[in-house]
Amino acid sequence: MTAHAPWNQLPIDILSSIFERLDLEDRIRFDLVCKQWRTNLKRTPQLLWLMLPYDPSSQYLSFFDMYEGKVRKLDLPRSAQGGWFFGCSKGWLFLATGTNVDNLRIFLFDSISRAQIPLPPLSTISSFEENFTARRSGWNPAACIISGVEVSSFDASQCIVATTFYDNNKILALCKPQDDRWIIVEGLLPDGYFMEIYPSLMENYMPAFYVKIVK
Amino acid sequence: MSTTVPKKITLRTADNHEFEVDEAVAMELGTVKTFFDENPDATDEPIPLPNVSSKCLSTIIEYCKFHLSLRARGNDSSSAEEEGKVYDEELIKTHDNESLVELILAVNYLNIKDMLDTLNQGVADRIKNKSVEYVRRFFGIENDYTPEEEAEIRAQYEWAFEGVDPDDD
Repeated sequence: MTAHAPWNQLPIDILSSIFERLDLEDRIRFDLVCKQWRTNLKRTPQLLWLMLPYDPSSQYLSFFDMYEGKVRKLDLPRSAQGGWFFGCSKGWLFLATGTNVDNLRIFLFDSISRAQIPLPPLSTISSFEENFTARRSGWNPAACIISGVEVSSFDASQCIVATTFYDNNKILALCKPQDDRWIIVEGLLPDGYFMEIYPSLMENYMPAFYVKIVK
Repeated sequence: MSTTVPKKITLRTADNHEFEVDEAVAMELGTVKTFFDENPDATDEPIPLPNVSSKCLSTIIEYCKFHLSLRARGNDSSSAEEEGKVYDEELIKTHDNESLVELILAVNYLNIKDMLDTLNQGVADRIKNKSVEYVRRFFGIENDYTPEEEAEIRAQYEWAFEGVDPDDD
């Protein structure tokens, strides 16, 4: 340790209290100071950001920072600009770009690390084109047909994604992010019933969702 | 308020100096208050504070006296608040890094929440928007990441490393 070591005497509670007073950028950056800081400094949920409506022509996401009382902007990578946010689960945003079947791209997006995890094309769902072409063209196809979406875990390398649809509301589409295509679960429900998915807290044990059958 | 002479309490620092303070001031020190709460029959013996130097204790007593007097004024709260802020800023300004740590440790030991908040905010302001290298030097911390680990985290959160203040030491 170097000469001006008295700071090392500070108990972790005090370091945490100092840390809590810093901005998000500072907290992320100072994870790199040393490994002990990264693992031991308590993260209080003091940073509460409300995501504001996204304007597809803008290059950033806007949040209202409840702590500082001001609007904060996080830059969006070019490849994520102009998209449509169709859900959020376990900290991941679901984002779709494109305005027709050919250029549609859907992916998980983390606004802090800016990670983008691609999901299989919706065109691998057999009823997709039929359902979508019944809708107005020029709209984002994912926006038109997806009614609900959840991931089983925040860890994108482990998680399973489950999706339900407006028109074909008796099917459940499942995938792992790195898969080529969606797996369709269907034929489970009699006429007049449909499915809604909810997150489960079983993620430490196995990937799981709650599926509610609704009449 | 009675007209009797306020009770005095004597505090003895690590370097063996004795400070005689009004009871109200001594009760601002959480550790001292707890001592009297738990020992209501305590005698007038000086209370030893083995973790606090006389330099720190005189700063702390001044702080407690000042903030007690502000609270006593009560009704003109906006000007009192402003004066409190100016006092706190001056307190931070007059302490270099080394004496600030010593003061924080003393205030933490004596359990004075408001003062600790003020000092912690002062430290946060000194490292706000600074580079990782600056903060390592500031706290005297050795980097224990491998270059590969460090590069990976930097690449992942690239935007958080942009636009920091230039290191001024």
